[in-house]
Amino acid sequence: MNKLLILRKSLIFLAVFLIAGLFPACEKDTTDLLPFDRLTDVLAFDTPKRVELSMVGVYDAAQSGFYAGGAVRGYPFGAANVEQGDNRGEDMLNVATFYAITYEATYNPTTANNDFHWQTLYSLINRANIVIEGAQNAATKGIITDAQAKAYEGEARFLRVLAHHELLIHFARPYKHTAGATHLGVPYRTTPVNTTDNLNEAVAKPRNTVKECYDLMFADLNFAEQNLPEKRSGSQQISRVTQGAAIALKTRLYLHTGDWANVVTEGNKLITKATYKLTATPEGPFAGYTSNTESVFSIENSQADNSGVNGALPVMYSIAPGRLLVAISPIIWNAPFWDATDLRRTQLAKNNGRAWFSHKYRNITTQDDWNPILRYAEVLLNVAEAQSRQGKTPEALALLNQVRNRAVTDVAKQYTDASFADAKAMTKAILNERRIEFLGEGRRWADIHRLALDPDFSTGGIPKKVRYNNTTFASWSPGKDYDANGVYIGAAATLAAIPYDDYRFLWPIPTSELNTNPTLAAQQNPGY
Amino acid sequence: MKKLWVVLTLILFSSAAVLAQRTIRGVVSGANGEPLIGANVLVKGTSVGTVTDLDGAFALELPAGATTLEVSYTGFETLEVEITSSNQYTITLQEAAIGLEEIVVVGYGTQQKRDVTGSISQVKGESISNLATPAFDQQLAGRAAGVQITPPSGILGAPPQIRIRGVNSISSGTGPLIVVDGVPILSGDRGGFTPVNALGDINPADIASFEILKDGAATAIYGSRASNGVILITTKKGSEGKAKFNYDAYVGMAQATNLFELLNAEEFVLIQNEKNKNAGGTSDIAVLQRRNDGSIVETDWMDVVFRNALQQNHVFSVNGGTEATKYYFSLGFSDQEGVAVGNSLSRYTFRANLDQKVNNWLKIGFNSGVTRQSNYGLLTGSNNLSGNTFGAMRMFPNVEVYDPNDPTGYNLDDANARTLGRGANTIEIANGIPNIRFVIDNDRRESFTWRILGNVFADVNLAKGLIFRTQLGVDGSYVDDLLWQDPRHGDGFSANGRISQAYSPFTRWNWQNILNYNNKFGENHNVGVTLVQEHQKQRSTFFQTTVTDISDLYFQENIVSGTFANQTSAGGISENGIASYLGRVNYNFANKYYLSASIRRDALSALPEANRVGYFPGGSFAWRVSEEPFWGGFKNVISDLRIRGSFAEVGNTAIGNYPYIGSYSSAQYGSQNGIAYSNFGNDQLKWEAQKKYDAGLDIGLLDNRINVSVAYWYQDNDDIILQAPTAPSVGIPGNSISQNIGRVTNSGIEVTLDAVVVSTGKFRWSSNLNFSTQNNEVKELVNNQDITGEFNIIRVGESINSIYGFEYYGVNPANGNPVYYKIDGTPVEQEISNGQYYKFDPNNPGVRGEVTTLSQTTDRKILGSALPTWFGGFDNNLTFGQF
Repeated sequence: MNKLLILRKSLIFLAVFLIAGLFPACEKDTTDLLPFDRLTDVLAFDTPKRVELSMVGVYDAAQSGFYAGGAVRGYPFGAANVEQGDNRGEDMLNVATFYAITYEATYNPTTANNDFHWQTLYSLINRANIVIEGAQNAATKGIITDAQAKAYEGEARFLRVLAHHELLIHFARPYKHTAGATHLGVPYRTTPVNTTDNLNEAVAKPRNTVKECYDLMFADLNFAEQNLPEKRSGSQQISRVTQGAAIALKTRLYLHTGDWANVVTEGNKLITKATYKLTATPEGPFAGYTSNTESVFSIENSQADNSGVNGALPVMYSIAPGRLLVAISPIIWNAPFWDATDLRRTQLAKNNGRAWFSHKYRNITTQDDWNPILRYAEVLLNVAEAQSRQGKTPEALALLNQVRNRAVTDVAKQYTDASFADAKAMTKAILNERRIEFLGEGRRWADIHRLALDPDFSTGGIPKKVRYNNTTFASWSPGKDYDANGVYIGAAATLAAIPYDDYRFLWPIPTSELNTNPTLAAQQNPGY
Repeated sequence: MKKLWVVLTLILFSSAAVLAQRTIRGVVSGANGEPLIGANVLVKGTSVGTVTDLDGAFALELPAGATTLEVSYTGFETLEVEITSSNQYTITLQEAAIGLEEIVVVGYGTQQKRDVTGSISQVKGESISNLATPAFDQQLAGRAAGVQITPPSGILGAPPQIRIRGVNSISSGTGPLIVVDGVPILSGDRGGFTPVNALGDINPADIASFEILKDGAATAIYGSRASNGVILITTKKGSEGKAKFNYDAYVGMAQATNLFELLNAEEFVLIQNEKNKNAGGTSDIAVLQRRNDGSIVETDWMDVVFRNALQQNHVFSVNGGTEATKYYFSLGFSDQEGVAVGNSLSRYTFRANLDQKVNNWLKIGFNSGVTRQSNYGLLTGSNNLSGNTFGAMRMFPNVEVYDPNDPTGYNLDDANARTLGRGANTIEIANGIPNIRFVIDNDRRESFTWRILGNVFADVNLAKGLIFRTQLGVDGSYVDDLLWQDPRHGDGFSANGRISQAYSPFTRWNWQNILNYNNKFGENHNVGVTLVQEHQKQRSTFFQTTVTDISDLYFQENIVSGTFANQTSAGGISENGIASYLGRVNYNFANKYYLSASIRRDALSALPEANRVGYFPGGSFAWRVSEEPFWGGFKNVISDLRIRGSFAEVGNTAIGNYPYIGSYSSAQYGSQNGIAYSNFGNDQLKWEAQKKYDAGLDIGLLDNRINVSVAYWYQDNDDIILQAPTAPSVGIPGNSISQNIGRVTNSGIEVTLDAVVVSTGKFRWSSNLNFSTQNNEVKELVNNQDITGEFNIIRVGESINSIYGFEYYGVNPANGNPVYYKIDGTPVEQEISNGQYYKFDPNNPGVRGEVTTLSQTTDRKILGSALPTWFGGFDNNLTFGQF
């Protein structure tokens, strides 16, 4: 009996030790776990496909950056650049409280709009810099060719310029503010921040001057122009950066520095090459946003990946079932220079019996309209302005008419030489044309900003604006409430103008930055 | 050859002995029937004896001439039992006058309460079973010193915040480890569209007791997971005897209190028109609406979104068993309405616990619970246009809720169907805010959860006092989420209806091998040793599909093929594992001097390989002064006095799954797939280390009718993993890096008083009073740089998340503008119309001062602590007779 007991006990002990002995063997299975849902950084650039994926990731940062609470609201270029750019100006009209802070200039360093614009623009810049480094390393290792690496670098450098320029127009004074543009711009970041060392280096870097920023931007764009493909396949012709986009962006940037000759030089590259062509009607680039001859570069949105119900342009800008949060202001709608029969009033605007709204972004349900960043129409008007500024009015008029006459089809109302007393009058007409043509595309603020110190065409700062609650549907009527000097005198415009030298002309560097960056904390825009 | 001889000899001897001996069996239990584990059963006058097993059972071979058994157990009067011809004995021991006789569950075992040297609060299931709450965690509020329960909202599924002895981390988890019947379980919010409390899956009526482990000595055994305390939950077990049926039910009513008082219709019209005029408006925008009978239309929207809520609960259970088999089965049903219209919860629970004694050395069993929880919720965020309270505060009080002429039956705007009907007002409501009642009645946010919680185990009696247990536990939580947004109005309006469904399974396996040894050497040396191996691995996945543009609102119960125009999908996966070894030794001399030490080794998957393994030691002592001979005379008054102290180093595993890996995650750009830098890696990442110190005094007065416990504790959390904020302009993902930089200390005093106030015949009145203080201080941060939020700040030298803002002066009586103080004490007023700041002179409020600034960075200051400095509970129980 005891023998059995001993035997049994031995077996039990054996079983216990066997069970217990299994443990160390499977510890690795338990604790050696790598994520299934992301690539570790050593893998991110180790195949050509992954370099390409990483490049697309830079566009993602441009299209759907983060907002408070992890939401996506189209910061910085999915939609927000348009919404903020329009609401800082007077031609679009904030309807509810959604964009009231921007529209009424009551922002402070903690305001979410300017905070997240800043944050997501720099997030885009760092992603671009990381991909430049990753692509170069991949080329060194022979994973991709040198030419491929340079093309990726060009793409990333273009996006880096786009981001820095957006920062400059909101957080820095315009180029003309000081004689040599020696005033403060923004920190221009060209090295990736992915190690503790380069993190410390980046934080120690103060704001560059505006001049330095523009010089770096032109260097980046020149590199991009040399290394980017001229054509891409399918819709990527528009949704990814091309050589044409780099040139087109240069024409915009030279307007900001007032370098008219270079605007013309760059613009003519595209005009002579004829890669791009205006669409037959003004709605062409919007109705056919994925594929048309005019769009040079747009940020792609899809039904699965867009700025969402709190950001997407079709939702924000449209009548029901859109959220009608931003309307067209009577200031531009009634402007005498906007012909009453202009096709852009019929093709690109709609009303709900209360106000007029933009009809450029149309997919309210799927929210997948692309955000136009550069159109050939802009290149034409950029060059037209530069020509007119240099007194070359015939050239300027031809370009202006290219854009205008597809919308103003009544020959009697089209411009001729006789329409303008002098080159200044023509320049004014070109600037007015920009307000109509790019209405609802966020370009208005950039123009107010660059023209603020222009001796002839300045708005003097942030112009006076209309309050929606003061309007009725009758407030919208071409020509109404304008005096003989072309000044809007409607009683609805009760939101006072803010002069250029007021601190609110600039956005504040956000508190999130000041709290973590002693260098920039010492360089806050004055007044905040 | 020699060995064989030995064996043969043994057999011969044994056989001879069998003839003269008999074996008796028995069970030793306490007065209220609970089995006494490890009781000594000795044949009087001999050294022949044994120790009772986990069921209090023993088997003893009697030597010739045995007449009396001596049965002893710490804390109980020793009993002598006459040996009769019977082979079966049921022995009941009476509690000794001294000592708290109860058994306390400690990590990986049990101890007598009087022998526990750590700081453990025990809460008995019955003391809270009569409270009507959606989950047990709410019931713990105010029950135990040092335990703070904060409900986040009035939504039934929202898990409350549980904090044991302060806030012990900055970026990582601060909630306790929760262990049910030995298996660490998932807690927190499991819902996708509406909160679902994972702890709500446990039927409170199934809980026999909670043990809340607070100090180092008690928690060190859980090592890396212990820095926020541990709550051990033991579910009810069967007890020997006839089946006992039990039915419990309650019906209750809940009411929301402290609702906002809103403007009535007339006040609203007055104020709105005044505001509009001041803002440059030229005409009245708000107008009173009158019905045909001349009465004014007036709606109190708080009454529209809140209600008196009915809650009912039913539990049916049966328990019983034989000496070999013990069972507990229960069925529970709970149906609760929330005070927010649209919020409700229903729960079905089933529990089966079974112990089977196979023979005298083997016991097997299982504890299992299956729960079905259905949560029906709604949007409550203060930032949601469709949030219930937000909506109610923004609705016009001078319009109707319903409109029989509208096709939906609700008052929607005729010109803009996405907003609330404007009534007689000239403008519609701002920001397209929908009629909140339409949203609450028609949109759906629902979550259906299956939860499987249980373990199977085998106990093997290897030798006297030596028990081996192997236990395989599982925690499975399977969540089905449904979102429906009506196309006619509200959040689904733009998308023409939206359905989103998500499925989120979570499975955790936990395997433990436990070796427990308890013995008494000589008269006074009591030794207990525990050795454990534990492996735990979990996987959490989800997938989600969202469809919009629904063909007809009839198709809202589930996504139905072909009823939608657009679809998107999402998904994700993550894993986590921990492998551990631990040991613990308890020793006491004559129940007077206690020493205890433990060490645990954990390897955690969330840390880089070089730092993956951590060692967590703990130790404690206690001295029962009242057992000393010199105490004698005081015993009449102070019947028990014990001094104790402990120290341990523990950790925190709630640091995310892969915080150290520099990684690239998916980054879609429209239709193009991409990846992007998503986490700044840190291969130096290591454990968050916490040192716990505790010193206490336990006093029993008047035969332990009054028990007082006082403890001082101090916790020093070092190497805290901080989501160290980085400057946004450097563009690091999430603007933060996980770094072991940060230190927070917590300290406090806990006082607990238990008293039987009256105990006469059938009437009994007992009271529990507990009181805790806490003091939190942030000691170190990255470069000691403040971490500033919108209204809070984490700053060295201050309590965590202190409230941070401008000091408010008041309102400028001349114009209604708010006035604040700059940091230098000068008052400035903010002109509402343009947002600018001007110097303010209290003596001339009507005179506009010069332009100045009020800086978010330099003019804000700490306005107060966000943590309570003290809290407590006072609880009275009155019972009369037995129902």
